[in-house]
Amino acid sequence: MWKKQLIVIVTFLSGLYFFLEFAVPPTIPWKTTSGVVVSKPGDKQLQINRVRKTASATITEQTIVKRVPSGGGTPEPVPSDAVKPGDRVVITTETGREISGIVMPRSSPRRIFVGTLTPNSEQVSIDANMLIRRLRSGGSAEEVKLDALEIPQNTSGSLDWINVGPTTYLSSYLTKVTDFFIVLGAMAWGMGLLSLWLVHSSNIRKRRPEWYTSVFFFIAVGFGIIAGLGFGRTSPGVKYTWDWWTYQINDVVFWQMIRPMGSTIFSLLTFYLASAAYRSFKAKSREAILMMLSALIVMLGQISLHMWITSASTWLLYIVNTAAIRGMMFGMMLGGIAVGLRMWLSLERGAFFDREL
Amino acid sequence: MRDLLIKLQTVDRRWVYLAIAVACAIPFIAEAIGKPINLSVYPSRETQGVFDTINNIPRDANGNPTKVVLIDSTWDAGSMGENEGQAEAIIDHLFRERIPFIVTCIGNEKAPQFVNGVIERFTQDTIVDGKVVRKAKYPGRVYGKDWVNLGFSVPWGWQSIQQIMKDIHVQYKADYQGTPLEEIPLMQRVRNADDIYMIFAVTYSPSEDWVSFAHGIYGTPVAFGCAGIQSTTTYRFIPSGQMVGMLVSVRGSAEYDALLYPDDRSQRVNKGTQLIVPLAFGHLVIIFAIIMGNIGYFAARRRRS
Amino acid sequence: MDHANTQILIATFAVIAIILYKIFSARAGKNIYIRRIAGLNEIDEAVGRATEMGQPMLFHPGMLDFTQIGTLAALGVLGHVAKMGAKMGNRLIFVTQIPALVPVAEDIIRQAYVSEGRPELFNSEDVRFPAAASDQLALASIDIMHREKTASHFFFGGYDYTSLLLTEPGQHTGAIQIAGTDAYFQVPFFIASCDYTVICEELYAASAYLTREPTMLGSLIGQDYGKIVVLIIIILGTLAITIGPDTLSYFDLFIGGPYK
Repeated sequence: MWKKQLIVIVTFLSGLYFFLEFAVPPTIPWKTTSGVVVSKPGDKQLQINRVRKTASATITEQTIVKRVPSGGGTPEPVPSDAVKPGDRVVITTETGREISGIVMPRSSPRRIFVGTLTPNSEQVSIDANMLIRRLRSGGSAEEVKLDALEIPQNTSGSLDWINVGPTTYLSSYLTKVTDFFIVLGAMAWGMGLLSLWLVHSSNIRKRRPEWYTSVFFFIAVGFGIIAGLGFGRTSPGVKYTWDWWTYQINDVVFWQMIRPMGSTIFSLLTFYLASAAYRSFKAKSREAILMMLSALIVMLGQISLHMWITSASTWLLYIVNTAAIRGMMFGMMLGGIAVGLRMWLSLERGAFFDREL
Repeated sequence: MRDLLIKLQTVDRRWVYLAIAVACAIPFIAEAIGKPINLSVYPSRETQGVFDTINNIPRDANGNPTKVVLIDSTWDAGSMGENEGQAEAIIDHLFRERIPFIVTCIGNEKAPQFVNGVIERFTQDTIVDGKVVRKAKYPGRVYGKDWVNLGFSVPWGWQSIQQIMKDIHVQYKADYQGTPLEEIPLMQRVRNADDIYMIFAVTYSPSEDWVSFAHGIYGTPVAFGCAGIQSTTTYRFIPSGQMVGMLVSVRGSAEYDALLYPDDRSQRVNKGTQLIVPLAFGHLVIIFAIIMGNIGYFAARRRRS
Repeated sequence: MDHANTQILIATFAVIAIILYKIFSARAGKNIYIRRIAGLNEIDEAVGRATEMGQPMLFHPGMLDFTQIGTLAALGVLGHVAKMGAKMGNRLIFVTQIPALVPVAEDIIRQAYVSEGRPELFNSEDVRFPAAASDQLALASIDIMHREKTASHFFFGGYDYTSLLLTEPGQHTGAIQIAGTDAYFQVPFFIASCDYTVICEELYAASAYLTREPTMLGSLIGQDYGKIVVLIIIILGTLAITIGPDTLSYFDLFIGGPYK
């Protein structure tokens, strides 16, 4: 019983942590300063300038976007989705209008907002609990250290747009939480091995029917462990050390046992697939006929028989199939939220979150 | 006559199995007796997309690629029929263009050995009983400079992907042989998403988290090499621009091989090119079986009515 | 996406609010209609048939970890199957490749048998962990099907390529098979080789459907309202892209555009 309780608690807490980590911003919103870095007045200080929006440009195929390098210079053409907030750009629109300024964070590859530096600047002192997040192209942010920030000599070129503020501490534990689950996962594997060990040893002790197959389990485990020790010694020029024989066993286990056996199990599918298709693909109704025809076209398309068949199969896969899968995806994701909520509210009956059945 | 037709509906499944086995064996027998069967290949949009993306890698003034390609190879014996050719085709292309690449195997402890087998076929001669049966295509490529195999990493889904894109040195401390990453020349200049040009995830069913956590956040081009069955669920990422392309099953690798060597058929030694003919024969048998089954079904229905 | 942006936050909480509203309004006792899901209706039938034949049943919860939604939904179905089995007096064999699922499943099945007053029918050796890999588990399951002559098979959860390996032998032994999976590319295999298949989100709705509790059914209705919201956004997006790039870029401002 306690095992179940433990699993329930761990699952609940991990779910809660990952949800909060996703939903809560990495820095406290009302204490966060957002803008371009213009200088570094002190050792632990940054001067951040606000940017005021002045214009926006719709990006089409005819639009030319040029980026001024850091520190100033001649603008160089770049793809519209490669510019990041803080870049100084010169955009020539479809109509020939020229717009220049600093890219704003809400820009997308379809529309770029630009602005100019305002005299309104702020000095932020960087403490140990402050998080500096530099915006990247596409609008996501990356965490940077104070020393890693390159501050240009002047503001005539591209700059870095950062959000700086006190951390909410959630994201900083992400690696540790992940590590915890890795350890937990390893423990589960150990539990599995232990459970198999108990089952098979009791089989042998009690001389159950076909107990000798259980002996093979122990032989296989021993072989597997030795093969694991010899892993990673396949590179050329390997020295013949005292443990070279583990490498030999690894070779045998991998290439002479796991490989043919794994492939054999997988290839059983071919036969099962053929017999299942033969048995179930019958033109019983209009829908079944439609499904059978599309299956035939896609199957023929897979083997490149003729250009026409390939294009028909491509159309089915790209258009019809995509529509169906997306529809299912939306349903499943919303269903996932509903199941999660039911679990959290302890409404789910019959599953392990429920106390009584 | 009608009885015979009706019987077509209930042929013992073992006959179907036999037909499949024979059909798949014919091309191999034909090759063994020196009369190989060849099929023409029409590269599809998804295969062309991967090929073009790799060709367009940014290069510096000396023509050396400025970034690396990351291959997440998690296939093993089970799906090697489909995935081995895909990994082989991409690695062939990368070696030919001298594009350095990193191999990771997130979540499958058996995978590093299998992908190593493919890479070694390109860099070392294949020797059986002291005789060279296959000469190495690219003998000059060096481990640590042209490629790195980082090996297995614990199966913790999207968190691993997120960490690789943020800082690969946190996710991996050493490569699969235990050499610390700082000592590997290639890894000294690869740190995070900025140094990775493209991601190619190859396995039976690649994790869709690559699309959300690599392309979604960093805009890194993502391509998949996947099994034919699984491909139907990932086609949706190609028209939306979230994936640059995909190698679908054996067909994908055969098409890629054809793109690599458009004129010289003798150069096409990829697994995919070898397997596309048996695959075609197998498909034809299944189609034939479905048609037979339907003839039997209609004969039975007519009798009933 | 590392962290939620404003649009995603609003969308997430809006969907949660709709579902919660529907859950609580369902408590007020409104009559809720849900369409028939054949696969779930036939579970009782399958349990009954195995009991009539005097042969045990087999339950396979897929190969995903126990924190995945597919597996949680499968455990809901397991509870129902075990309860029906206990009611009719039949044995249920459970196989898994996830070690952590063993104690959980043991608990669910034992409780079901105890609550129906048949604790003697439950044997902890019927909850088995034969292997830690899906293909090996498939082989072990086939072995169990032949050895124990199981008459009803239930496959619920997330599946990989072994789905057909699991179901085709059952088809040959003539067992009644019901499957439900959220791995949509395995659905065709299940349809071809099982008697009934529960498709994708129907699996998530399974426990609500089986228990018929108004609060749980309410969450299904809320989920459907969420779908309507998504549909409206899709239609607006389609209109925006049809009218022109300018409209689309304004649409991006509200919805969050590509890669954000």
